[in-house]
Formats: sequence, structure tokens, C-alpha cells
Amino acid sequence: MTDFSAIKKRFPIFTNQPNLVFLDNGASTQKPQAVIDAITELYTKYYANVHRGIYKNSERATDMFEAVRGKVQKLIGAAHEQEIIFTKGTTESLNTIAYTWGERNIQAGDEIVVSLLEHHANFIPWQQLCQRKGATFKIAMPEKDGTLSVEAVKKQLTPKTKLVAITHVSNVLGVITPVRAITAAAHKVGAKVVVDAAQSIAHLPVNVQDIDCDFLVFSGHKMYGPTGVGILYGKRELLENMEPFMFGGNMINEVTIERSTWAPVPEKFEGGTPAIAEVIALAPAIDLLQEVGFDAIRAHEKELLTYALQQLATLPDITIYGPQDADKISGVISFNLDTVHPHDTGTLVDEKDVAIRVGHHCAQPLTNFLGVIGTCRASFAIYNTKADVDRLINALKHAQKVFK
Amino acid sequence: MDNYREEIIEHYKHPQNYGHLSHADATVHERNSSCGDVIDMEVAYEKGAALSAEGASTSTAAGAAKIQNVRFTSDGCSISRASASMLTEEVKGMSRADIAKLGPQDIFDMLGVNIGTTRAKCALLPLDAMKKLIKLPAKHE
Ligand SMILES: Cc1ncc(COP(=O)(O)O)c(C=O)c1O
Repeated sequence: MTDFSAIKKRFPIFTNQPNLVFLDNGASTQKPQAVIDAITELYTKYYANVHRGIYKNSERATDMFEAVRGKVQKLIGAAHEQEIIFTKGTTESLNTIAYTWGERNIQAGDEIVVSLLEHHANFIPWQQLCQRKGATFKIAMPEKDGTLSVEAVKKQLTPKTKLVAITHVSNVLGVITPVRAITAAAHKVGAKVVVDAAQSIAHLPVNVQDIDCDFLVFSGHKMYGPTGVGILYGKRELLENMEPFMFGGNMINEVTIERSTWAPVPEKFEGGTPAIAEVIALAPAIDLLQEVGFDAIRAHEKELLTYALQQLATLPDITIYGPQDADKISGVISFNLDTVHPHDTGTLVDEKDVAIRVGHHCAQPLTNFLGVIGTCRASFAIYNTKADVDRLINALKHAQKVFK
Repeated sequence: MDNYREEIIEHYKHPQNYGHLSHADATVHERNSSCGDVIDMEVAYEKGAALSAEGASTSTAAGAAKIQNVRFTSDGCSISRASASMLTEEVKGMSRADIAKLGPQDIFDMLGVNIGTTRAKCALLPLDAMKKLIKLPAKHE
């Protein structure tokens, strides 16, 4: 049995704020000491730019930096190390796909399918691409409880479908989508598939070869790593045939007055000095996930979700969104107190040192579908405990009392 | 920190000037993009006031036009609704030019709480709406 209270001790924020109950992990997780140390170690012991100097520090920094590519490759089961591109986050990864692959491959009359569950980052780039190209933007609708079926996606697929962009886990409802089956269906009509793994990467095993998706994206800061680093995975053949989009240093082969040629992948897509410290410090975050293991992470999370769903349901005047079944969701529970506006709930539970997110969670098409302006969202991480759920419930009772 | 003194809860539960005017000179719809809260506000100016398209400006006769009545409806949190309730009380009888001079601090003083940066947007939504409203040309002059 994994001792999750020992894991919590590795996150110094909880030593500095012993009373903090942090339930906004869907937005960003706290950082373990090992991640903080990796940043300090680089800046205090061997900092230099990467891929440039032939001196010792630059070589060491480059080695540390490049080693992370291999770690990410193993984490997501990619076939080749060159399929891992460092970006600054999920948003940049998705926009990069839209501006490189998208600009080249989407034409008037083509169709792009996304689901209504998408975060704006996996919605707007495709909506805007369709508008630029005169393509059709199509939406796969979830069931009433927020779950997304393969059939709902299939219904939108036609021979004109060129791309399907789907989140692995909804950041509002926690709903896990059948990305593998969706990918198979999309491939049948010849469409490429983008999977947004921002919410799943720290919670569920993610294997790009098993899913068989063409692209997969996520952010370091939601998986116990630093801000400013994210991943764009793409199948090698696709990446090799894509034009770069960010021109500058590091991404070229040869530059003359007349023309430029590009470095091979992944450098072709990594123009400019990268987030060196952040990439290097992503390594201990990945190590942590693999040390604990996704079986233990998921078992712990399911226990918390089941307990939280039970406890929330004991409150009067509460609406819980989503399928309310720990098997169908990951990391996230959304709800509203019927007598308290979500903003007021957020502030009132904060008075009790419980941090949750309130609002539309950058997924307005989904909150519109739910018929609400916003929700309260509790999202869990490996350092959360049942005691945190109890504190949340008490804080919610406090909010209800104020608005009685 | 006490964002929820009784007065705010009271204004939230029983907002002043909530609803519609039988006769509005101008209406506005404003939205807080960070949380999605919305407010609709309508105004009636005193009879005979000079109202023109240039709206509130200290130097013109239009700026001297006084507010006879104002109403709002909103879908928002307690802070934004209490703020709207208090503000609409405050501005009755005020001239457009004087309303144009109201700033964020006036709202925070009215609410009497020390509000955080995120919630400040909730508190200021009604003021933003009000300032837009008084700049609109009146429907009938
Ligand atoms: C599902 C999903 N996609 C995309 C994003 C955007 O991630 P980032 O802000 O790190 O680019 C988020 C997080 O906010 C998310 O939850």
C-alpha cells in the first residue's frame, strides 16, 4: 500500500501552510521539493544555454534537458524520442498543431470534429482554423450526464472529416472519454486525431501507441512539474512532413540570404531558447508519477472521488454535475449549492482555507449545456486525503449557513 | 477578512431597484467575462433634461442631466448584486457628469469590505454597466 500522507510531506507548501486544503489541482498542482530542487540546482550549479556551447556546463545542461525527452517518451509510450516536442504548455501545443498541420491540411469543405466537453484551448484553435479555411466545425454532443459516447462522435464523422480533437478527461466534469475507440473510428474515415491529455496525464496511464492518436498534448504544471513547459507528441511521419511555425534559432539546418532549411524533428518545432530549467525540472515530476505508479494513483483517486461524491450528496440543496460514478470520472467533481452563487461559495470556503475553483473553467460551451453560468469544482491530486474532503464539506456547510 | 457582513447579504437577498422601468431612456447589458455574470441596467432621466448622443460630459448640458430612476436585473454573486443594489440607490438624482466621476474606490467604500483582486471584478461590474449606460443616447429626448 502506498502511503499517500508520506507523499504529501514531499510538497513543502503543506509544511508552510499546514491548514491548506488544496482542491484546485485541475488548474495546477503543487510542486514537490524534488522539482523545486532541480530548478535551484541548475541555476546554482551548472546553468548554461542548451544546444549551443561546447563547454562543460552547456553540455551538462543539454544532457539533462535531452534526458527529459526520453522520460516523456517512456511516460506516454511513444515509439520514438523525436516525437516529443517541448512547448510552453497545452495551449501552445494545440495552437502549434493548428498553425502547422492545420494550415497545410485543412481546406474549404473539410470538417473538423470536437466534443462539447473541450477546454477553450482545444476548441477555439479549431473553430478559428475552420473559419480561416471555410471548413465546417462540428460538435459531438455528450449525454445528459456529460459522458461522451463513441457513437456521438461517429455521428459527426463523414469522409470529409480531416481532424477529430478530443479531451481525454473533461476539466469540468472529470468525464473520461473513450479516446481509443474514437481514434479507431476517426481513422476509418481517414481523419487525424488530437488528444488533449492535460487533465489525464497525472491521473491515468496514457499510452499514445495504444490509443493510436496522431497528436497528444499536455502541460507540465498539472502533473507536479513547473509552469512554462508542455508537450506536443506527434507521430514521426506527420511531424516530419509538417512545416515549422516558429522561426529562429535552434530550428534550422542552413540559412542563406535566399532560403532556409529546417533541422530535423523535434528541433524544427523548438525555435528559440526553450524553458531549460522547467524542462529539466519536469524529470523529477515524471519520476514521482512513475514511482507511485498509475495503479496506486488511480486507486487512491477513486477512493477519494467515491467518498467525496457520497459526502457531497449528504448536503441539502446541492446539484452535482456529471455521471457521479468514480469509474467514469477522473480527478474532478463539479457541483453547485442551490442557494449560493459559485463565486460566493469559492470565497466562503476559502475563509476555511479550502481552495476550489469556481466559474466556467474555460469551457463555456459545456457550462451553457449544463445550463449554468459556472460551477464549483473540486479537483484532486496525490496529496489529497479523505480529511480534505471532510474539510470541504464543513466549509460548504459554512457557506450555506451564511446564505441561509 | 469578512466579505459577508450582513449588509451585503441583505442587499443580495433583497436588492434595491431590482426589476424593470415602465419607461426607460436607455438600457445596457454588461458581462463579466471572467465568471460569466451578467447585468442589465436601465435608466430614466428627469423630465426636461437635455439629452443628446454625446452623453455624459462635464461641460455639456447633457452632462447635467439627472437620473430620475434606475433599475437592474442580474445573474450574479452576492458581491455583484449588492454592489448593483447600493450603486443604483446612490446614483438617483445624480447628474451624468457626477456619475462619470465615480471610481472603483467609491464602490469598495460603499460595500465596506476589503475585496481581493478576483472578486473586485464582481464588485465593479455594476459600475462598468452604469458608466456605459449614461453614455448612451436617450431613446426619447
Ligand atoms: C483539458 C484542458 N486542456 C487544456 C488546458 C490548457 O492548459 P494550459 O493552460 O496549461 O495551456 C487545460 C487547463 O487549463 C485543460 O484542463
